Amino acid sequence: MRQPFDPAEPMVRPYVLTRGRVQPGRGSFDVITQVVAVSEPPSGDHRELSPEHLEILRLCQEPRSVAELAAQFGRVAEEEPEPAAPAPPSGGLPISVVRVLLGDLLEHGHIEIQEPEADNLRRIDLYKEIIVGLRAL
Amino acid sequence: MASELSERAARPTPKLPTAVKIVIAGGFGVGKTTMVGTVSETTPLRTEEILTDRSVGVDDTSGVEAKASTTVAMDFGRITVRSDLVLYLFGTPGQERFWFMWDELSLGALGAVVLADTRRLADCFPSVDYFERRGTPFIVAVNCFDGARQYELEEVQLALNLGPQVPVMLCDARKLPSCKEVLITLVQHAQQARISVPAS
Ligand SMILES: Nc1nc2c(ncn2[C@@H]2O[C@H](COP(=O)(O)OP(=O)(O)OP(=O)(O)O)[C@@H](O)[C@H]2O)c(=O)[nH]1
Ligand SMILES: [Mg+2]
Repeated sequence: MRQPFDPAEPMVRPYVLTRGRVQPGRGSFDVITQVVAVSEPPSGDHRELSPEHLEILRLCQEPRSVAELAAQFGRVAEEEPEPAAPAPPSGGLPISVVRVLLGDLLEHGHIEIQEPEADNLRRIDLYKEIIVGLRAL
Repeated sequence: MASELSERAARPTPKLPTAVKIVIAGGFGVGKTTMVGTVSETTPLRTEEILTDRSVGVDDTSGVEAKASTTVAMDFGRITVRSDLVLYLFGTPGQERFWFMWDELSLGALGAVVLADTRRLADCFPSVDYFERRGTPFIVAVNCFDGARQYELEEVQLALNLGPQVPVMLCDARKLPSCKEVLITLVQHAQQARISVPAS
C-alpha cells in the first residue's frame, strides 16, 4: 500500500526547499514542540543554511512552537505598516516542510528544542495552573 | 568563564516553556475556529499540512490525481498561561478523511472538546468515536445555534451513547465566559481521567 518516497517522481513544490526530504534528520517535532534560536541568524558564509533556514531562525529568536513557525513563515512582521495592496493570500509553510528545515538547524546547533513530555500530563500542578490561567482570561 | 565563550554562544537562550495542546473537534461548520478565536490571545493562526506519498496510503478515498498534492488546513491559537506554560488550541480539519492530521494533533494532547450542533448531531459521531478509541479524555459541548435547543443534555448523552463520566454541556463558541467554562471543564475532566485521586 504505502509507497516509499521516490525522489524521481515529481515533487510537491514546497519539498523542493527540503531537497525532496519529507522527514527531518533529527527530532520528531510535534506541532507544539518549542523552538528557540541559540543566536541571531548568522551572517557571513553558512553554506548549510538556505534563506528558508534563516527565516526560521529569525522567527524563533523568542521561543515558538513548530505550528507557529509554520504559520508565521514569510509573513510580514506585525510592527510593519499594512501594505496598501491586499495582503498576499496566505504565506506560511507546510508543517512537514518546517520540520525538515528544523531538523537541519538542530543538527547544526542553531536551535534548541523542547519536545512535549507525556509525563507532564500526570503532573497535577499542571492541571491546576492551567485552570488558574483559564479563569484569569 | 563567559569570556571564553564565542560571541555567538554568549547569549543565554531563554528557558523553553512547557507546552500543552487541546484539540477542538466536531463536524463541518460547528464553531471550531470560532472557539479557538474566542479564547486565544491572537486571531487564529492557520497552518497547512501536505498529504504526501508517505501518508497517501492512509487516505483510501483519494484518487491518483490527488496523490502528493492534497493540503489540509487547520486553525490554532495560543494562550500564554504563564511565561513558562503555554496552552495551544487546535481546531481539527473539518473533513474526517484527514485522519493522519488528527493523529498528529491528538498525540500527547491533554484532551479534546467535541463541538456538537443538535440540528446535525450525527456530524460529531466520528469525533466521539475517534477520541473514545484513542482513550483521549474529551467532553461534548453543544453549540446552541439560533437558540436551537432541540434536545435535553441527557438526550444528547444517550444519543451519543456516552459513558456517564463524559461531561456534556451547552456552550456558545462566540462568548468568552462560555468557552472558558468549557475548557475548564475539560481540564478538570482530563485531570480526573489521568490522575487517579487517592482515596480520602
Ligand atoms: N449561533 C451561534 N453561531 C455560531 C456559534 N459558533 C459559531 N457560530 C457561527 O457558525 C459559523 C461557523 O463557525 P466556524 O467557527 O467557522 O466553524 P468551523 O467548525 O470552524 O467550520 P469548518 O472549519 O468549516 O468546519 C460562523 O458563522 C460562526 O459565527 C455559536 O455558538 N452560536
Ligand atoms: Mg474552521
